[in-house]
Amino acid sequence: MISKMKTGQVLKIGLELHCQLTNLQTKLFCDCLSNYRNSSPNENTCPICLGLPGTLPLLNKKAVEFASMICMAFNCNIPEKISFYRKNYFYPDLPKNYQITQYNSYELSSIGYEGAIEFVGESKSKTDTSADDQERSKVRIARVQLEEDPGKITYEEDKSAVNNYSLIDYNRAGVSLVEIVTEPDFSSPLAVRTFLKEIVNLFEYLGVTDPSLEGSVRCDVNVSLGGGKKVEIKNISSFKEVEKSIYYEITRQKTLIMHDIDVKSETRHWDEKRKVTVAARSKEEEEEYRYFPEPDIPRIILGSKFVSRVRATLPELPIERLKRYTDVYKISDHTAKILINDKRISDFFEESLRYYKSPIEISNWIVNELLTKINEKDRQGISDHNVRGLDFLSVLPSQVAEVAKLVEEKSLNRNIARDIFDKSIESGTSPLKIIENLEIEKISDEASIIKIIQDILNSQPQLIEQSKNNPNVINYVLGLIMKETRGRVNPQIAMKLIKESLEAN
Amino acid sequence: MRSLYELPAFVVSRKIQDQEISAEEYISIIIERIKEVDSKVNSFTSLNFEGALTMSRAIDKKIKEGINTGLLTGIPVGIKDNISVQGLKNTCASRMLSEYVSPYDATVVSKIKEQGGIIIGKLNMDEFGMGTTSEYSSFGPVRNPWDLEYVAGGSSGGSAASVASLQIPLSLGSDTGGSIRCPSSFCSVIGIKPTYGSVSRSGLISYSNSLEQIGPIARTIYDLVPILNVISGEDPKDNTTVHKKYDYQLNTIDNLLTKKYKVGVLNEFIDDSEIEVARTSQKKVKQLEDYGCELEDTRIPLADYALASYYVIATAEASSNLSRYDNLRYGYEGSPEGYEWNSYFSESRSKFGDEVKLRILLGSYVLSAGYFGKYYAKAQTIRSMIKREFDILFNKYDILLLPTMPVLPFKLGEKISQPIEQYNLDVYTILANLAGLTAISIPAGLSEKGFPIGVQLIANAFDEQKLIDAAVILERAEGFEKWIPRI
Amino acid sequence: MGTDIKKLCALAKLEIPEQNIAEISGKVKEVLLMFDKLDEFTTEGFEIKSTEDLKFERAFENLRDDRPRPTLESSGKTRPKLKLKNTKDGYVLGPRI
Ligand SMILES: [Zn+2]
Repeated sequence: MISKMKTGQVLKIGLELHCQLTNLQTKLFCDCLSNYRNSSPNENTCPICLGLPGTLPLLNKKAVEFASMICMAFNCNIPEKISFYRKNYFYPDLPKNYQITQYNSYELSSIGYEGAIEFVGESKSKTDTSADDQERSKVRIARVQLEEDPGKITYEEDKSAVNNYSLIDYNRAGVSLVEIVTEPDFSSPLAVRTFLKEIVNLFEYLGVTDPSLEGSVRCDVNVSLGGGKKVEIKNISSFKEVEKSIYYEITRQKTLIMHDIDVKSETRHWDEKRKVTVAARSKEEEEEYRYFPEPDIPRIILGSKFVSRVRATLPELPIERLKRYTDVYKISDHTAKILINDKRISDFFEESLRYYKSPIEISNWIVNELLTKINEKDRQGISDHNVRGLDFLSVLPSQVAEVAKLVEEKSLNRNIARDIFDKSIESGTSPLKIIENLEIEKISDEASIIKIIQDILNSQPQLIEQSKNNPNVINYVLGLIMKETRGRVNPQIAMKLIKESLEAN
Repeated sequence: MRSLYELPAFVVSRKIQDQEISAEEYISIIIERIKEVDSKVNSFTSLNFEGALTMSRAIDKKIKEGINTGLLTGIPVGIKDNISVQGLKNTCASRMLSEYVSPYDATVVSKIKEQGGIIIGKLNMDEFGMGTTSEYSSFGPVRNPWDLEYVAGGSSGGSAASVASLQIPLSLGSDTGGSIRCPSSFCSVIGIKPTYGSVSRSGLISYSNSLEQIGPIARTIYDLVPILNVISGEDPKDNTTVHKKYDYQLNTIDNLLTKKYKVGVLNEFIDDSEIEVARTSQKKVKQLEDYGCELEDTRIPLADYALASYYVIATAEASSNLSRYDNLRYGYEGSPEGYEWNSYFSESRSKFGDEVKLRILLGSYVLSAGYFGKYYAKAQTIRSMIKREFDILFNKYDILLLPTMPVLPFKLGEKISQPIEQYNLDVYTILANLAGLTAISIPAGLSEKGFPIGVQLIANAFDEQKLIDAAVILERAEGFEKWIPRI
Repeated sequence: MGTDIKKLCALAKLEIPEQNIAEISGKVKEVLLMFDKLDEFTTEGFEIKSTEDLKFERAFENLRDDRPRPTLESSGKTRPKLKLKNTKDGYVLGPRI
């Protein structure tokens, strides 16, 4: 399909990302909890977020700060003053039947505008270090705006036609949402996928959201072919579906063009079950949002020092971390990228360094051993769309540090070290403990092995006689010992001791 | 001897605090008075007699224990039915909200309660505050206590009529484009629209957020000032309130004689009014002069554009504010079961009255795609220009004087269903709302046939003190406490 | 100008009975005519940007802190709650979508 596309019309894809600021304590305009996920229906509401008559929005200071951090990460301009607008449309999940948002048509009101971000594209595998891996794409950001999430509508029956009514839960209503609108700078579904992966990671670095929470990062897509009309796809539940929906939409539009049918500018919904996009409403209808300045929220003066103040509190971003890993730690670019591409892996790495400061050795253990394990688990389909596998392994940073230290300082054989590391990951015991146990059994336990042998010979005295004609008896006894000790005995030593015991008797 | 219900609130409150009478006795008298009179005036939409009596007993108990009970001790206050009182119906005189009971107190209401005021009931109005006569109410029209066949003015008609007819001494109204001042003028009571941002709107059901303020209505400036002090102030629940010290004084006449306020007289407005209104306004000019004020003719050149500007902004904001009434979460009887959502919304919202529907449609139109610049943005620009003209005037003058209403009260039904004719009545009052200023309507006299006439004074933002001072002068010059309707 | 009253009603989600359409349509036109007064006003010679002048401003520092309200147990008061109408298992009953 991609190749056909190359010979055919230019493909332009733009994104509209919605990121819930889940790391806030309270909603955007009231002091209900930002974390609505643990409440029973409509419990996490108050007069403000239910839009009761007479209530007024009270803007969350930290939400403005978080949104501005996102703007900084996307290299957007941040104006000295921001303001809010009402987007008027009716819908049962919208308590006021308008959404408080930002809007730039009449003035520059949004928290961020005109940014751009480069994305690397994820390294394909640890063996692939080819140059195209390094290629960076640039996406322009039109604007970043702060707005409120609506509530949620559910049904008792799956098939919507069967239901006589819907069920509305306003717990989510009023939760802070940051909308990021890109220019149509993506030219393939794959680029979108890699971009999204990186962006989610970026949000995590910023500490504004927990992407593993269902629905915390959502994405609408617009697709146009050959300079034609823009079609918007909404209602896409996960990032995997984003890619699928784009592929579908490309095929649909191509088919239309092939049959000389005009592509309409419209909004379509992604039907996840049927894997098709369906027409939702025409552009004409949706342009009637009757935007106007929200009279209940004054224009907010951020002031000239705002940006520098927030920037000073900005956590280290992936791109900065990458630089530090390669420049200061001298880790290879390839390995460093793998580390920073997942904040949790990168944090794990940093934590390991606290136990043993050997960045190269530790990074190798993480990238070559630990991540391989995680990828295996991933392939088994254990992990969820946004969640990485680290949670599923009970590995501690100290364990990795210990293995690295054993190899580097005690010149432990790498193969043995790998075995120990594997055991350590499986059992959760520290590598040092494992080594200790191994050594205790190997060296100091001859006496107890002899005791086990004696016990066996006492209960089966015929073995002594048989052994004189049958050399297999030694192996038989060894088997019994191994069974008894669950294989913890060094077989060479045991063999020697069995022979001695049999001969002595 | 005059009955307690005839006395000013501050006098009665003193008696209650001195334990000359109990709050409970006073409230009982008020309740009797309301029962006797309001069937004729129709100023209340719901009554809180039980709650008021309970509250009065609690106050009496506190007084006996020597606890300070506040600036409004024992005083019954009526609340316009678009201001939230916890546990009371809050209908906005609309069938859309016939079953809605507010779960919270408006900030002004909690402040009144904290100062010992007693919420006696909710007051009739034009539906959602949209009207100039208080005829557009699901409870039927408010009647003018001076002649029950005449309109009381609007939209806070119940707030003015209940005070004028000696049912209660104090009430709260809201003023979007004259809604406090117009009925105050028509009923001969004193009502103030405070500066935008000086009184919290939290709990006020929005009609046009950028224009409106809650304000008090009373029979004398001496009752108006304490409650104004109580309700004014920055509120963390309303981000459009302004941090300032609000401490209005009732100055003595001797003190006021030294102030020599400069008063700009908006003569074009006076001349454009009905002859008796004009004559009365001139009489007020004279009285201020007698008390040492300096008067001068002046004008607001852009006033011609004010009406269109005002109604564009008001309807635009209203159309959005009233969107939330879809009868899903609260409202009136009825279930969405079996309905498709579009038809449920449309059918539910058909309970709005005709005038409200008209304004929603107008507001939706002026905000719709392609018209923003032609209407809303233009209206806001003119609004800014008008504000500038006022800025210039207030460099020169302390106070501006003009009639509150261009006409005398008229008969019920006379202007109903004639939007433009009604809107034109607001030309003198909307100016203060557009520019966010403070303005007051003060009883100025009676027409030959005995209908009230009000004079309006406008001052710069946060200059309420100047209006209060002028009101003290005018009340001294021609005591209006004797102007009481016979009912 | 052509105001399509039915389209406007659909936009504002208002049901207006057929027999009233003509009347309300007439009123809308009448008021819009009054609004046309704005066209006579030219902003030439004035330097004013759209809605800027009258909008209230507030410093970022004075916004609400991100602090959840005290729980009912700790505050000792019961928070007044709206009795939502037409609920089922805590959900608000809605129309079909
Ligand atoms: Zn809330």
